[in-house]
Amino acid sequence: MYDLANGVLLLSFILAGYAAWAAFMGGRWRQPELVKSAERSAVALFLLSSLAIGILTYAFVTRDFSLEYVASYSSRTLPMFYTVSAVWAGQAGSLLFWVWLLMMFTAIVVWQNQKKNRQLIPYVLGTLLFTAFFFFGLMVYATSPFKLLPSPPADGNGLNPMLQNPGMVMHPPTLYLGYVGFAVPFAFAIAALLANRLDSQWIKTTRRWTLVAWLFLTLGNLFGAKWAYVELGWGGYWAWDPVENASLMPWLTGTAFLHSVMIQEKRGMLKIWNLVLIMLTFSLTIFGTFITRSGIISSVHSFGVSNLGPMFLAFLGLTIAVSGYLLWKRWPQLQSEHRLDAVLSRESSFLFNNLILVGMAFAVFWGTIFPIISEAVRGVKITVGPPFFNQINIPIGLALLALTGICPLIAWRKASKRNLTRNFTIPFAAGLVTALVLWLFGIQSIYPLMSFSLTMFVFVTIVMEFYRGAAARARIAGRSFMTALWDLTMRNKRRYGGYIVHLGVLFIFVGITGSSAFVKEKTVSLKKGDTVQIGDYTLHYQGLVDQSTDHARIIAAKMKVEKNGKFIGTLYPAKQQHRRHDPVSEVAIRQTPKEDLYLILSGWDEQERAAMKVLVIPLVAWIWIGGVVMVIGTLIALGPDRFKRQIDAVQRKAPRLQIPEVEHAH
Amino acid sequence: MRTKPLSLMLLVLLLVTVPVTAQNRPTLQDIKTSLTCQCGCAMTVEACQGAMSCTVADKLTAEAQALLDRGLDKQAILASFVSQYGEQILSAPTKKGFNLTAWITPFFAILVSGFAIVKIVQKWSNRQAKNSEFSGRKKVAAQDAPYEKMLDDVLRHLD
Repeated sequence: MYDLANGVLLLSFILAGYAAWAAFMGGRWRQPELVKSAERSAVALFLLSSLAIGILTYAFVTRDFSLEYVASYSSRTLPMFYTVSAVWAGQAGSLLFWVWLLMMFTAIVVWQNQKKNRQLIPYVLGTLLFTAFFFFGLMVYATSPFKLLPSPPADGNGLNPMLQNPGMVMHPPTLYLGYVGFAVPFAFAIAALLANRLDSQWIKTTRRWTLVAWLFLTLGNLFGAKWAYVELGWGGYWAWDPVENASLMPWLTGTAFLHSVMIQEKRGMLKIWNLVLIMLTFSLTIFGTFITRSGIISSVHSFGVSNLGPMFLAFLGLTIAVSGYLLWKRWPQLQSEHRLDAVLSRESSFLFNNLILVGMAFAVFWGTIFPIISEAVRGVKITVGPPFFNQINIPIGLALLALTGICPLIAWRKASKRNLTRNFTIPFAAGLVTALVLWLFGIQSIYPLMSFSLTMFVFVTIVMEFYRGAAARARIAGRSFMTALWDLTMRNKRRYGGYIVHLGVLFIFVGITGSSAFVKEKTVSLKKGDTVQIGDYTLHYQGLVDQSTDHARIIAAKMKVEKNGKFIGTLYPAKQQHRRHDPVSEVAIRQTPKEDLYLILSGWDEQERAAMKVLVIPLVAWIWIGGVVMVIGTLIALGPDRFKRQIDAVQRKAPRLQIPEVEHAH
Repeated sequence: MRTKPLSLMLLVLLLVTVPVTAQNRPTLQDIKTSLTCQCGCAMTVEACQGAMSCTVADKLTAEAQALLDRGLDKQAILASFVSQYGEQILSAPTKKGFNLTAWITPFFAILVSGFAIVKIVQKWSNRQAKNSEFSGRKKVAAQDAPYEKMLDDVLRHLD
């Protein structure tokens, strides 16, 4: 069966190479038969890669340890849920998973574009299939998941206990869906350049693809953060590890792209910038994969040192070179249809938003690669860790927060004094009052103060946008406010979905600020019957609990918890000792919207004396709540607009009529 | 006048790269957060000690505690670790020499780009104003006013 699987990979590699050639040449020579052949090959490649991943999953489920990959990442006692997730736990399997997703997306692109974008499709397919050709090549020549062991062991090594967590099951697939998803708008951008179709069509076609990729990348980062928080056991959720940074950078540039495409769609500007952004985003996804898999920068998340680094570097170089060449070649045709009218305008504010997002991505990139630069220039190895990234990114993040409030409310073309006064007086006053109140309540550190005040400023701008729109609609249509609010959102999902996403971002800012600036922490050594006081909590240590399962011994400390003298529950921070792996912490968390009580058992002795770290982390739950709100907002923004459908219908009837009827007055 | 934007830029760089909190007597946690564990995990000593049963992190913590007990300040403690383990033990680059470029470059890039954007947009808007004056478009502009307003309305409602 595994000979068949290796054969499938080899056949896929050859077919992907042929299909990429057929697609590019079919487009260049205007040969529809060649393009059709590439389309059929793309669908066949999806089926072949599905077969390959199906075989690998089957090997895991049947615990076939004759496969080196299965023996390395699973064992007989591993629960089935984690056994299936082990498919993408290692280098080779995750590459197969990557290419399977890529082929699935390519097949969807073929299906969606049977009758539209026919000039672009050959080059879109060529780009996607060439990427698949590279990934299949890696599995054929460098790291196959179907490598057999000469003598299969009776049991496998098992999955790293840290990866046995629902967050870690969800984190890689969502991250890969994001990474791979950005390949589609990138392929359309390359196609637009190759086909010389430089209008906004490629952007309109890929808007939903971009949003979906962005959504999954957001989810991937949040699942990763949640996993780190509940599994790594240090009370944090983001350690600025190079691999974490690798997934944040394309998210930042992708977010910039999502915003700047609006300017091209509405005013025909920033064409070059949008192309640069999507090229940058795709390149950063490859850069992230390179960092994770090359072992060039040490990281707790990487797959270890491998021979894949130079190959990824070559692919990255090729991507940048081809993108740069095409951009240079089409430069004269990419000039804007309009120019910016004023510094104080919606267009300019979007430019500044882009500057901050890309600037932050650059800051993260710079910090990530600085150890390599330092070693090359000075010959001295250094580390760039959380203190650097926090200090650099906090002021940039605050600037971004301010622009989140400013961008949607400032007028297009040129903001008048009336526009500024009308839209910003109340939010600005709310921010100022918040700052004053917090100052009086003792919050006097500059960054938390700025963060909470700006959050209030942005929150009020969003509430005002919803309120004004819904109130006007309720007045005109004679409906209740809530019906009008619902109707308003549903009629312009893109706009109001976007505001809901911004609301989620605010919650995340609140969570990050609270959990970074106001943590209470105690490291204690307790003997049975001892009590520890932290914040409003009193914890009574009642001894150790020793449990054994098939694959681990679990030592937990029984902690009776009281809040303001009232019993609220019992927590069991623990350490798991696995037969084949190092011991890992199993933290105990009591979560509320106000704060988390977070207990880590560090060690113990024969007399049941327990070493423990106790933290009270304020507002951290708002990060996860914010994530959910962001998902809801993105899903709303993904839906078709009733308002836009009406405009399209009017335009179809009277193509020269460009101005839609205004639906509601502000 | 030309030095004004430059001075402003330098001031901003200085403000954002200088730590906001004052240097009080350091805590053990301060030190552990400023050190990278040498077990190969790439986490800070603080994070590594929580996440794993790491003997290297335990050893570094004990050394830090011993230095704190001797009454050394944060700078002296970190210098002691650097002399023993090399610069890579610090979890952030120092703010001197070549390492200073790590701290300044991102802000410098953002400020220069922001300044360039403002200048370019100002130049464009001035050129547009001049063009409309030269081509005697003032009268036409007056006639266009309703359409200009309509365009603004459409842009506002087409978000």
